Amino acid sequence: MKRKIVVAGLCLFVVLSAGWVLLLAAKQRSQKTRTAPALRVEPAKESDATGKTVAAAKAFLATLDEAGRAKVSQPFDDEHKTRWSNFPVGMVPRNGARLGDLSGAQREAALKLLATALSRSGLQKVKEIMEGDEVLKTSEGGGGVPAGVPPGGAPPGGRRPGGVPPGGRGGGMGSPNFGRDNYYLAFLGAPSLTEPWMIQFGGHHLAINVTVVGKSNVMTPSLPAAQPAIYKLKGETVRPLGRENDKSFALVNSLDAAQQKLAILNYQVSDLVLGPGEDGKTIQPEGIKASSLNAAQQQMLLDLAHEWVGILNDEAAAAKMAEIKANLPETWFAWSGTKTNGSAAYFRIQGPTLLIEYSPQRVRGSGGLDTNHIHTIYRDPTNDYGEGLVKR
Amino acid sequence: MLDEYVQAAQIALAPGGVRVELRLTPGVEVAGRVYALIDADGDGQISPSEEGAYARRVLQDIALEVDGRRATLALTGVQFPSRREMREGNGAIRLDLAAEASLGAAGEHQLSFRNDHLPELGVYLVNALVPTTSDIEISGQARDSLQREMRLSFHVNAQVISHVTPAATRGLWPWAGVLILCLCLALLISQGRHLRRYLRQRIAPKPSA
Repeated sequence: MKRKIVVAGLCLFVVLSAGWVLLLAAKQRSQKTRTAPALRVEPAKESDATGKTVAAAKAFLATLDEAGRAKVSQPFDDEHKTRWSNFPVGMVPRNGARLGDLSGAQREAALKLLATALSRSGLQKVKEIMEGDEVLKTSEGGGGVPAGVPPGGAPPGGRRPGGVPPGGRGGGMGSPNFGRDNYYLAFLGAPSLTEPWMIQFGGHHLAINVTVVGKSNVMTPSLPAAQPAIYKLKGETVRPLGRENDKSFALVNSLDAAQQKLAILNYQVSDLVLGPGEDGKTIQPEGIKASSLNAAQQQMLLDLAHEWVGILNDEAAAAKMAEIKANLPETWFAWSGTKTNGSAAYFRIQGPTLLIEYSPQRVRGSGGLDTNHIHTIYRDPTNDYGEGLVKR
Repeated sequence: MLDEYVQAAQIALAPGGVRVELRLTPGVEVAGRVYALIDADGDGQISPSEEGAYARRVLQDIALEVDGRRATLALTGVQFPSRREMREGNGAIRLDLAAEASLGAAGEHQLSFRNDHLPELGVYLVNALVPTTSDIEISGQARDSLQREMRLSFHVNAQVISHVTPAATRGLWPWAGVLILCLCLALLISQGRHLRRYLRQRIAPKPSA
């Protein structure tokens, strides 16, 4: 009888141990399932933004020979997704085909793709950033600032744009690493209405990353920057990031003293906090919450954010703006610098699905910030590279 | 920034302690000076021991305190760029630091961080990352005007924190269970005969005197 009890006890112990192990394993599996991003993608149609972009991408590929297609077509993996920068291409090589190596027809097809994937104003901004780099390349000693600069464009202390030393930073003025030819176009994954893929376009001071997942188009992370931030082209003054600058100064100056006390940081920010290579991070927000702004100020904040969001095609930008508007009460605006348009100031807009930073770079030797050399970043902490949409 | 040494720190609070990621990027015009500091023997190459020595030097220049008590930071990762990258001004030295200390009992706490590394060249950024657990909430942050120093106020929810298992060991529990199960089975199989004999002897009726 006693023997039976001991054997039964041992069996019970074994069964309970096995049950415990199975329970823990099941719990872990369920946790993994919960943390995996849900696939919430609507299928694309040929008539929507994705459909048109896919058609334009395929038309571009059709202009290339086999070697060209191989250069443009890269894997949709982390190594390739994260290969973008504000640095010149000689310092950080980019994925894809160099615009300067394309024929006229191929280049036209590439620009047609950009015109399809981006909005009209977004394409204009991209072209102005590229032309700015051409100015940087050709201007001897870093010239390019026209006389009679408008607000927001005055170089402090006579600083000329592009203080890049010859032999440094990828070759300096006149270097083949600068200029409108040195921008690269790549596809990560194959253009598709159903499968995730990505358009990567960029070079010095520009990184446009558009991830396409079904009907959804996501343009985070992207880095529109400018040096010079103001230049003359065919007699016209060009300011690639001029609206961003002017709208931000208008917003900070619309705040009353109590609001400014919350919004204006007491320290200098001399670089992007979450620039290239800082994927997957969320910093503690600061500044003033949009819930403390009045309706007009909230609209100004949305208009300012739209300068980045609206680079992407109108259909995708409208969806993103609706999301940002819904999250507005939890969105923050922070400012560092003086409030006089024409001086340099850093600002940040941060919400649950948004991070925008506008960061004038430091002037050599002076400790101040340069109105003519601007870096910006646009991120979505929940959906950079479309990772919130792509089931991993 | 060509003539400055950008030193960006990101501070992460977790139940098991504090992690600090330092990203140090010398601009092209000061890269030579920084490189010379690292390349102690001047042979033009940075050896692993020189990397370690420089990382320890940076570590000595960093001060971290939790509730007024100094927290000892240890190096958990070191990554140096190539000489070419550093010379071109796009090479970032990355140092991962950690202080394996409890962040304290339930309630409000203070953390202070200060970076005194090469102030004659340095331009500083310091930020706190949003904690990945709701057990910790940052309630305030203050910096000096140059961002060399940061003070964080944070709240710890002890009720939850007492149930937190360190992430590093969380995945080991099922395997511990499997191991115990295997040991039991092995014991049962190997000792089964002796056990049966022993039980037989104990259970068998004793001959009457």
